[in-house]
Amino acid sequence: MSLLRVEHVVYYFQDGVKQRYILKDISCVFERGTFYTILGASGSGKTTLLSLISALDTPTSGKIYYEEKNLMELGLENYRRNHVGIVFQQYNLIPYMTPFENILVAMGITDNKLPMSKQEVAYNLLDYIGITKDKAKRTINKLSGGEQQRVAIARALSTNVDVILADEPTGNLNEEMTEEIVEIFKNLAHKHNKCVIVVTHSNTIAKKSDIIYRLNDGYINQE
Amino acid sequence: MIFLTRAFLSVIRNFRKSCIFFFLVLILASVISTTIFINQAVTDTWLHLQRNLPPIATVKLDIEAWERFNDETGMIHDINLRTDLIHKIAALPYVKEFDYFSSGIFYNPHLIPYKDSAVNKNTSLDVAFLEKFWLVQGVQNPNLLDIQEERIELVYGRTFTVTEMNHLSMVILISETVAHLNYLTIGSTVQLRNIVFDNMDGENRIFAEESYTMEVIGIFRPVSGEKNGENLQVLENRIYAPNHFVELAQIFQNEQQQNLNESGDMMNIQGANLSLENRFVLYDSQQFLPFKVAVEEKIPPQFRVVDIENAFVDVYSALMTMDGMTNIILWVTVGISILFLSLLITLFLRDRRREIGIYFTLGEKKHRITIQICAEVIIIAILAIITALFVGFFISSILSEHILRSNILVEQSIHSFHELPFYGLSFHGSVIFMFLGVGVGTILLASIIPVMYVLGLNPKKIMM
Ligand SMILES: Nc1ncnc2c1ncn2[C@@H]1O[C@H](COP(=O)(O)OP(=O)(O)OP(=O)(O)O)[C@@H](O)[C@H]1O
Ligand SMILES: [Mg+2]
Repeated sequence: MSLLRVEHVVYYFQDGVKQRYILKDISCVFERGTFYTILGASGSGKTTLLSLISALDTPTSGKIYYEEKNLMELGLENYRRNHVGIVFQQYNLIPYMTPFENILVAMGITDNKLPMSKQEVAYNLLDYIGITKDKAKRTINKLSGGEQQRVAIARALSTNVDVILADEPTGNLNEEMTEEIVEIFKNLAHKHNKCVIVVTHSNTIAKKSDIIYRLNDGYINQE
Repeated sequence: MIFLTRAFLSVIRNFRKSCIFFFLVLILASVISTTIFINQAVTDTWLHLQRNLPPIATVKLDIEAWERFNDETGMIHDINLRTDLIHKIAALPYVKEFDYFSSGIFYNPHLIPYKDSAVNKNTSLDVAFLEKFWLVQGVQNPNLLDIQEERIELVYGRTFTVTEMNHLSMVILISETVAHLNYLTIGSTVQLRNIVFDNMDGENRIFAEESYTMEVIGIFRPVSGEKNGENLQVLENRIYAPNHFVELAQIFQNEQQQNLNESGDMMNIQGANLSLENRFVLYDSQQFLPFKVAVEEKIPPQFRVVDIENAFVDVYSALMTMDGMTNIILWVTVGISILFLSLLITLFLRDRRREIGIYFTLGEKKHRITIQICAEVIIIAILAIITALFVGFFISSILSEHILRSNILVEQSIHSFHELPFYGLSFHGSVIFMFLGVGVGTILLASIIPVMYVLGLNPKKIMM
C-alpha cells in the first residue's frame, strides 16, 4: 500500500476550441520517509501537477489516491486540512501576524491531534527550523525571505501531516539559504518519516533527493 | 487559534482600514438612527395626541363635498344624516354610546334667561327680542351624553326614561340657574310656544302657533370648565327634551311654512331649522381611525367623520407627511449603505485575497471563513452603530425641534389643543431595538456580495 498514488492523470486547459494538454498521462507513487523532487523545464507542468497532488485543483481525468482512498471521496478540503502541508515559492504567510500566530492559524484549522499543546508545538517547530523566539514575535513583513520560507515550512509541519509539498521553495533564496532549506526537507523525510515532494528546476536540489521524477512533454519518468 | 480570534486580530492589526470602515458606517448609521428617532417621535406624538383626544366622534356635513356632490348629480342632497344610518353606525363594535340631537326654537317671553355680563356688553343684536326665544335640545339617549361626558351634572330630579323617549312626552330638563331665576322646581310646568312668523313686511307677525305645557323633571348644573362666557350662557339657557317632542314641533313648523309659502310668499328652504346632530362615544380614542374608515363606507359622500375637537385629521396628515419623509430617507440610506459598504468590504477583501487563499489551502471550512468575515464586519459595525445611536439622538433632538417649529401646518392644527403636544424624543427599548435591527440587517446584507466574492476565489490562482 502506497501513501500517495497518481494514476493516469490527464490535465488540459481549454484554449478556445482546442485543448492544450499539460499533463498527458501521469502515473507515479510516493511513500513515507522519502524525499522526492519533481524536475522539469519551465512550463512543463510541475506546478500543475503539484496543484493536483495538493488538491487545490482536480485532474481532467485519472485519479489520485491517498492511502488507497480517492481524493474526491476523501474530500479535497478534508485532505488539505488533515493530510498535506504545502509550501509555496511566495511563502504565502499572513502578513499582519507573527510567525507564531501564523502557525497557530494552521493548527486551529486541522482536525489532527498534536503531541503537545499548540504553543509548545509552535515554539518547538520554530526552534527546529531556526527561528529565534525574538523573531517569532515580529510580524511577518519584518523577516527576510529565507526566514519567511522557514516559517512557511514550520506551518506546513505544524498540523502533523504525512505529506509535505513544496513548489520551488528556494526559488527566491540565495545558495546558502537554499542548502539549509533542502537540508531541512531531507531531515523531515529521513528522521521524521515524512513524504516530502519538492518541485524544482534545479538539478543541484534534485541531486540531494532520494527519488527524482522528471516531467517532460506531459509525461513523467523516474530517474 | 480559533477563527473568531483571527477575526479579532484582523480588526486590530489592520487598524487603518478598520478606522475607515468604522467612520463610514458611523456616518451612514447616524443618518439612519436620526431618521428612526424622528420617526419614532412622530409616532409617539401621534399616539399621545390620540390618547389625549376625547373618544368622541361625530358625523358632520362637509359643505364643500356637499356642493360638489350636488353639482355632480344635479340634485340637492340631504344635509342631515338619516336616523336609520345613525342607528347603523351605532351598531359598529367601536361604539360604546351614541346620541343624536334635534333642536328647536321656542318662544316664551316670561321665562327669565341667564345673562353673562361680559358676553352681552359687546353685542349689537336685539337682545331683548332674542331673549324671548329658547333653544330646546332634543336628545335620544335617555341618560344624556352631556351628563356622561361631564359637561353637566344632574342636581335635582331625574333624566328621561326609555318610555318617554319612545312616546311623545312633554318633559324637560332645565338648568339650576334658570330654575332659580324663575322659581321653578321639579314638577313645575313651563309653556313653550311654537311660532311661525310671517315677516314679509319686515315685521314679525305671527302666522301660526301651537303651545305646549312642559313638565320639569330634572334640574342640571354645568360642570366646571366653562366658568363664564358664551358657552356657559348657552349651556345655562339650554332646555333638554326628547327628540320625539322636538321633531313633532318641527313638523308643525314645516307644515305651516308650507302654508305660508303657498299664500304667495318667497320660498324659504333654509327655514327648516331642524338640525340633526349626532355623537358617537367610542371605547377608545385609538379606534377613531378604523371607526372613521368603517363609517365613511356607510354614509353618503357629503358627510365626514370628525373627532369632537376637529383636530385629528389635520394633525394626522401633517404627522403622516413627516412620517413618510423620514421613512423615505431611512430606506434610501439603507439602500445606499448596502451598496457602499458592499463595495468597500469587497475592496478590502481583495487586498486580503492571499490570506484567504491561505485559509483555503489549509483546508478551512467555507462556513467558518464566512463567519470570520461577517464577524470582522460586525465587530467594527457594532461599535460604529452604538456610537451612531448617540449621534443620531443628538442630531434628531436638534432637528425635530427645528422641523416642528418650521412646520406651520402642525402648529396651526395643534392650535386647538391647549399646548403643543411634546415631540418627545424617546430613548426607549423599541427604538433602540429597531435601530439595531436595521443597522445589523443592513451590515449583513452589505456582506453578501463580499462573502460571495471570497467564496468564489480560486486558491490555486492566488497561491501558485
Ligand atoms: N490558466 C491557464 N490557461 C492556459 N494555460 C495555462 C494556464 N495556466 C498555466 N498554463 C500553462 O500550463 C503550462 C504549465 O504550467 P505550470 O505552471 O504547471 O508550469 P511549471 O512547470 O510550473 O513552470 P515554471 O517552472 O515556470 O513554474 C504552462 O505552459 C502554462 O503556460
Ligand atoms: Mg511552477
